[in-house]
Amino acid sequence: MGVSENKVLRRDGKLPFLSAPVKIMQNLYNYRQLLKHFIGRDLKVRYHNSILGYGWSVLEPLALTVTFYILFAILSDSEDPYRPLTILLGILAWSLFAKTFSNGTTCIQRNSSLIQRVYFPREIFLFSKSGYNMFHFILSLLVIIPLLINYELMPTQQLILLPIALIMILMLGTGLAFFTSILQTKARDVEHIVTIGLRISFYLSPVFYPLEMITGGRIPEQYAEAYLIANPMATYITMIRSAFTGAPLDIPTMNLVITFATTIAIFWIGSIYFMRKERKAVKFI
Amino acid sequence: MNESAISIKDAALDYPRKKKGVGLLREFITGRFKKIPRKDRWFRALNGINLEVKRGEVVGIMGPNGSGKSTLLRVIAGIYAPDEGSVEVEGRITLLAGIGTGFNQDLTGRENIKLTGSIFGFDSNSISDMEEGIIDFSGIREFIDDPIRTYSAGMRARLGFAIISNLEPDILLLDEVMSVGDYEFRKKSRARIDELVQGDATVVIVSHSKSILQSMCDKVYGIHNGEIVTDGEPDSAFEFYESEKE
Repeated sequence: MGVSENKVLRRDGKLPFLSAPVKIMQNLYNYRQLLKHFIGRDLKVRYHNSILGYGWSVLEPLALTVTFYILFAILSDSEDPYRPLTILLGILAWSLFAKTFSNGTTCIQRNSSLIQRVYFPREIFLFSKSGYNMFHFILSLLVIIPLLINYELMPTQQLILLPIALIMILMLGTGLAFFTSILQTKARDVEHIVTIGLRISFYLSPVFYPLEMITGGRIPEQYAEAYLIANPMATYITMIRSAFTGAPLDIPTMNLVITFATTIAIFWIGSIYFMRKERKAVKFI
Repeated sequence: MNESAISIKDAALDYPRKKKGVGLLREFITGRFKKIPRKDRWFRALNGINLEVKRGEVVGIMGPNGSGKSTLLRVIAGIYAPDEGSVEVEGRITLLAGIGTGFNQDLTGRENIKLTGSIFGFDSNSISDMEEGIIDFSGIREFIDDPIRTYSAGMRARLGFAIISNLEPDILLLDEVMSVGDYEFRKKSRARIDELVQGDATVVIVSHSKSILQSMCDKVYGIHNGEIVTDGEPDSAFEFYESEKE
């Protein structure tokens, strides 16, 4: 039978501190059926008109890719043999992050009617959004197959970078949304601030240009390093590109370690914040 | 197995005074600088609540508007965690209060049955078993495969009630006995509630109606300003409620 049957519900327990991520993982496991249903619901709504639904969902990244391709052909003299692929992967990876973050920000407030009706761990909402966006990313990724064939790119061992980068992007997006989803219940304009922030960082991240344009000597080396640390998405997007082109990852190991550590720390601290504030936050919705 | 289904000890809950007022970040920031004292931002919605409900018992809660009745139900349902004290509830809980929301507009009625079932912790097999019964009860079989957005308000309410009332909870929380749909459906839903109340389930009913509580409940508590003020004797609760009205 169902998961909550004959279970004692106690909501006055101690609030988890360092163990918050562990607690969240337990909750996700216990409520995996529900998580599956939520993700399935979002996918069903999105792809309801089957072929057409899928077409629309890849049309935007494709249109953006064409636009930036033309723009770069005019503006830039740099040589990138895989330019359309570089741009498309950048846009897909960025939207995975941006959608996870922005959907996560609003998910507690938007589900207020459900939250006031039945209790289940509220982080399910956040993770159902990350899960949905993950599936959406993988489905959208199918459009790069013609490009891979065109460039005769074969899978190399660099492909291992793809799952690592995906997990990191989801952790970063969800980790930030842990904070903003709580703040959004108190101040409804947090979502607008997130939108503006994402728009600005879209241009500051190597989404439609390769990372080399920033680290390739145009700016002093120490700034390039600081940039990589301040912008984890720069690393993750570049990892996803390397995964498909097979090019070696041109990022110092030290920078990689710091970037991963920051992302994990954001997720960890975010989960503590969320678990401790969620009870208060739902009183505001 | 434990004797009591619901056990609340010294529970207290604070609630924000301004629920949706703090809409702007500007206000959020300036609010911080102005240092509004905590007691002006929060009020005690429930205070020192002690309540034991035994398995299978039917308990009524009565009190004036804003006395904390509905908040108490939400605390029992686990929606709000108590700020002080403890709340322990054993078994599957269903809160039945103002219905029809929580549906996804783009999914069909049938898909929403599945989704709601999984929200309440049922797995796919048990939901499939209940599906036909729910559709029959709702009386909207011919529209069940249409998206919810095409439904009228009455149809949504019918489906909502049909789903919730067919989930067969161990603990049923009723917030005001509702009036849904047309006369026929109201009669049907009233009969269904009676059936649930008379069944094995532990029931907590919040209502203003003396006649409903009198006919259904083993115990009735009066609640005032977030505190339980009577001892469970139905008559003393009614007496208290009458005196409050004056």
